[in-house]
Amino acid sequence: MKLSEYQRAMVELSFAEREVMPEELAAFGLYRHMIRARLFAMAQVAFRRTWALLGDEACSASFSRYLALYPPRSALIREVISSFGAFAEVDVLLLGAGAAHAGDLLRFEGAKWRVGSAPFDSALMGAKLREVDFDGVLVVNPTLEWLSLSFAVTEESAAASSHTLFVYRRRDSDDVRWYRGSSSFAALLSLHSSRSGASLGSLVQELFSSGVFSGSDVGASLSDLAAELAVAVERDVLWGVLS
Amino acid sequence: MLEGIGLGLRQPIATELFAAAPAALRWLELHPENYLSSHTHGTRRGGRYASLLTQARDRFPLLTHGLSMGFGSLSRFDAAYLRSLRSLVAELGCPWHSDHLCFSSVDGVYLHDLLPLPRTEESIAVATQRIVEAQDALGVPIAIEHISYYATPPGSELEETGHLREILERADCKLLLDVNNVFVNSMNQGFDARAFIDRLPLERVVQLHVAGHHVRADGLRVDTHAEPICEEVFALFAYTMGKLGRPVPVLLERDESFPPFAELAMEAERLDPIYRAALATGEAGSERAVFERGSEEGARADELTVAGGLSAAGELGSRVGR
Repeated sequence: MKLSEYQRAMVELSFAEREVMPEELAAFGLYRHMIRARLFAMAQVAFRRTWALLGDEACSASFSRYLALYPPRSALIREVISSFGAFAEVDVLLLGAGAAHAGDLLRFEGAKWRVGSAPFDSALMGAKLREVDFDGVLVVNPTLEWLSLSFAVTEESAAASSHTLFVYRRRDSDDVRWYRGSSSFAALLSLHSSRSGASLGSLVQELFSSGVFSGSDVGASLSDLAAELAVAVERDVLWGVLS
Repeated sequence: MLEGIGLGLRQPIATELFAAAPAALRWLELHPENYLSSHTHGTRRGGRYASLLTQARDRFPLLTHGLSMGFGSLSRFDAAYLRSLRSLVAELGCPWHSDHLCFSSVDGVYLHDLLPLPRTEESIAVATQRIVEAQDALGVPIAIEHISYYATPPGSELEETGHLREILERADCKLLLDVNNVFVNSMNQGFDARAFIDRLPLERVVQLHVAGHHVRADGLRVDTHAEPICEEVFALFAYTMGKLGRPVPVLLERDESFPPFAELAMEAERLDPIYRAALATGEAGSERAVFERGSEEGARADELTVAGGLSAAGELGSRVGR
């Protein structure tokens, strides 16, 4: 047997969803077991609440399907687990029979897992920033991920509630935090991500033009947004504006 | 000079390690995969691990020990990973980088484990080429670690030491000698551990690993790094140090089922006099150091071995059949 044939056979034995023959188990079954056990254990850590919600059998079956369809393509095991989150979000066999908020919970736990390891941009860390003003260009925490959710999955009750959740890490802590933003704050950040170099003032003006604040007291809306920007800076969701 | 007893930098023990390191502790070993970010971007990982690295670098000399290169892999290494690794190794001032003589990926699929190579001329040629490539790319010598294995791949023609010697010579690289791996393999495969060590080119050894392992109900020994070092491995460590007779860094490997830190520290402290005795007096002195300490602590170590083994068996058993 050539080296390549042996190595490919081991990959197939480890990840394929099929009955493993007794002779294969006798010779190399321990490797299949060890390889899978390590990956399964890490997935359970990353998606602890999802696993508890949907049950070990359903989650393990989904993870097994994932490994068979998408064998690990990263040398970093944590990235293999991240990719499982994306797979599971569309795995109807997993989510179809589960609680309504299971999909949101998966996305939340997936974001927490990624944000926990996300690097800070060293150029931004060294940049001169000032407090938020409308002439400046917003600097958003580079670890920030935002999720449009239908359920409040950060709470155990997970009640129905459409909102945008921002998941991130502060500069002064390794812990993952989250912040529930208003719809106008979410719209502002979304616009910011697509308008490179645009000042905060121009973004707010565009929000007005697009009707985000229509039907309400515009002055109050603007005041609320300014207050929320200050809170976001305090919580490190935003870092300030570029000088 | 980097020598003496070291520990692996692991998150569960980091706080206590930084606050109250054992007196014998001279250095730390880390897995680069825990600190590098996505290979494609070649950046550093953020968060807890970045903080760990900063704190560790301020306190101890560091050595890098990879988990993903697998020198028997058929494909060339990811260039972005090599660049990131080179930068990390240079930044930490590591005199060499170690990884495993095994295969852990093929066709871009990673197994996230260390699998044995068939002991053939073909695998010697592949491993030699990969090691030379790695040495060129990283700019430091490579030390290869021989792995513990539980099955012999089909087509193996050579004895393990012959296969290993050939690769060491052709690639002109260093050896990371894992005393626990030698012991585990000797028990599982039925050979004499000391004779195995005698046949190794010890002049190429730059580093030692010592660890605990799990003994399954059927007698198979599994290299888990989740149990205390057993008495036989302490003795084999003393024998190895006696044969080496020169200072090298010695890692106490512990990756899972961490005991209270004081117990881990005691284990490190127990390795130190064996190590020092070997340097001072040679083989006989170091083996005597094992038995003097062993008689005091043997009973306690046995209890811990049983406890660790049961725990590991429970974890393994719960996932059988997936």
